[in-house]
Amino acid sequence: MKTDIILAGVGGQGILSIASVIGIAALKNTLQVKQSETHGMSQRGGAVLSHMRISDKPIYSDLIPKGEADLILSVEPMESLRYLPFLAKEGYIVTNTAPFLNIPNYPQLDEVLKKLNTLERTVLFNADELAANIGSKLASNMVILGAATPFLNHINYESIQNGIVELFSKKGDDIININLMALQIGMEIANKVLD
Amino acid sequence: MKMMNGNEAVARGAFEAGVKVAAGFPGTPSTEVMDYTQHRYPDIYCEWSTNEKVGLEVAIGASFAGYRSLAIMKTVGLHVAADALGGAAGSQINGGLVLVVGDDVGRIAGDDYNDVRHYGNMFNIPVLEPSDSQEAKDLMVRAFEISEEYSTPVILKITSVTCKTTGRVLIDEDYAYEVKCREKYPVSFSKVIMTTIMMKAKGSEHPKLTKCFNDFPAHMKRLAEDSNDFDINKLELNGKKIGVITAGTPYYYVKEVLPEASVLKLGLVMPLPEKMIRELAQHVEKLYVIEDGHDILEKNIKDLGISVIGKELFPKFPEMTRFTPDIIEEKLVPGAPKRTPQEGVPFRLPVSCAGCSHLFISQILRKHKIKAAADVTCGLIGCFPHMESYSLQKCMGSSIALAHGYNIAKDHKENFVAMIGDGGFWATGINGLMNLIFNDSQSTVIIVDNSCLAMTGGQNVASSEFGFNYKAENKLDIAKVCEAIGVKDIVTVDAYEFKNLEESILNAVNAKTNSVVIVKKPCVTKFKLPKDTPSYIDQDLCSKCRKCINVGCLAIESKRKNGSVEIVINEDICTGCGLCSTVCHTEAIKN
Repeated sequence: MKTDIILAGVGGQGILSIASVIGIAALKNTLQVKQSETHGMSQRGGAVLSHMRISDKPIYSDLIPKGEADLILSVEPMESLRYLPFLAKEGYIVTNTAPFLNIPNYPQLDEVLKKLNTLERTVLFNADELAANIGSKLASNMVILGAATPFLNHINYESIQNGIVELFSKKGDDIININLMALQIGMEIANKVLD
Repeated sequence: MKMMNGNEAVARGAFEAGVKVAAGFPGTPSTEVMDYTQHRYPDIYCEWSTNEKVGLEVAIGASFAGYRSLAIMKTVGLHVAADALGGAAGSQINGGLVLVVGDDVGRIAGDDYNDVRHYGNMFNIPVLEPSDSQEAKDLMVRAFEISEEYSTPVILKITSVTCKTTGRVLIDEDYAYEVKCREKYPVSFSKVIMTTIMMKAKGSEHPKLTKCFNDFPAHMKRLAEDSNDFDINKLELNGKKIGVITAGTPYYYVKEVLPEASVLKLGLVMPLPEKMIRELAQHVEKLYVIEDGHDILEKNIKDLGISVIGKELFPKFPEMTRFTPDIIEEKLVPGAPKRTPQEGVPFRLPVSCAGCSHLFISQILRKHKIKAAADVTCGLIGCFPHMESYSLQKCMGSSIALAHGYNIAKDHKENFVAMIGDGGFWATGINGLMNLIFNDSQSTVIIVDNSCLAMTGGQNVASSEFGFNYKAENKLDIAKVCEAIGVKDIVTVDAYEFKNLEESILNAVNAKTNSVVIVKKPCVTKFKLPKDTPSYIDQDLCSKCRKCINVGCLAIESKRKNGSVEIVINEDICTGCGLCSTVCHTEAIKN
């Protein structure tokens, strides 16, 4: 049993926090994990990509071969498109629809969303708005993670919650709670879409 | 069991090896090796040295004192330190001396395509290469053992992939740090003694001389022989069709894509275990070399008289920057699906952080069409075409000498300005400044003092007010040093005082003397500067001229919807520094 996840977004959007939470949860479930990162100039608005592989057997490659990702989890719509060649035929895309517009040649947003909508297995929603509603735009990454929880196969929801508690333990209860709330909102959205 | 990335694992390895001294200079991808060492293992003395050469020399001195020592840098930095390495290579080693060097495989972090293994060939020293975090820790310990046993500096090659890949690492939580010390040789000289003895010069038989003799080619020969039995080199004999010699992360790509292949996985990539290679060559029909970076294993194996298939099948840069499972599959697995990259998704050009002092300088240079050289700083983003603030940019610390060269060639009829960061200034730029003074040049230098090395994540420099070994009384003062060097005209300005900064730069450029403008503002990202009220754009007044976009700030966004464009300021990112309002002709940008 393995889960291959492409995590995508732009520097500063919290992709690596998502990876950390999943990593903590996987380790607690005594699963094997390999997670690679490429983030050249990530603090300055560059694209960030992380390959995350989880399995109950030893994992060789840190990179997911093209066409084999079970899930693309993206905090930005165009960035989810960038990595489409990695997605397996049966794979899912969970992506934020709020764009990160720091380039002059960003394609028309409705075109990007149209392209995503033509794909079969997608969970698309504006995570920034939902996160803002609970008072922290910064937590939109955890909303997206919440929406991905139904696809994390051998890692249950509770383990992800524990991962958040552990990752943010030094930042205090308020931060932990808002991130847990964000996770819950995302999970509910995904379940609605899947129904 | 712990999740660790390669950098963390190397730091752990240093701890388990009983390292006493770690010195180096930041450089992606290996900067964090030092950060982790310092934060997790306070028993180890750590310093960010002024540059890589100094860092390596510190480590060499500590090694001679008998203690295991570590130098940390990226490959580009080893070019700076290569002279020091040349001196250490071939000389007697007391405490193990290991260089942890980060190669930017895949050009992930920057735009260089170097391969540190060339130094192994050039200086005849061993190179180790881990494939994952577990090996990064284990090989670190092994590197010190090899350094002492074979009396040689050792390079541990890590890459932008191994450094940033997280995996499980077995560690002993109760491991007690024990510093290792070995004072074997009372003297250690660079190769001059060896040359004297080899040339059989008069007196070369003198016991005082022969006692210093270090027959390093013999050590390397012995290491090559012994390496056939090293467990860090693994020969996995499987199918007879395909054999692969590999190292680093590509080993795992081979295992994933070619499970039937026979594989020689090298942990020690230099020198080569010849017997193992011959055994594999005899076992298989076709033998491939799959190595990231340059074709170094391939050439070294071919030099042994063994034929292998390497770059003829897998062309190197610029056709390919790194191996992936897909590349191996496409070439070696019959019927593999053809993978095409996604089209129509634009590259995200880097932009400066909102409120960065570099944006102010770039803006003034552009506004007044002042020709300038940039250095390796966050300000080099100003070289990109959307900003066009600089016309020349090369290596770390170079801008001052570049400008001086330009100005003397043009008989000082132009004033080609140098911009340099505080890190670049202390690294090697200070040499450029001394040089231009005593050679009677009249260049203008803008030194951007943001109190850290911002580009690699905010490490301390000589003029920072923090750092591993920081003491207020030892902080170097850029202005005082410039004065002592003999700069005639020195002015210090706050980056956010736009008018004052503009005037200071113009005065300096127009002065008929050498001049330095020190632009002060702590790095907004490192020091999390307090924000002012964010600016916004009054859409009724905005003429869509895009001048504010060209300031290059991360907070300014251009939205396209149904064919029309709207320029907006992202209030979450904007720091309210007000720079964009200075370029707006319609006064549409408001606070």
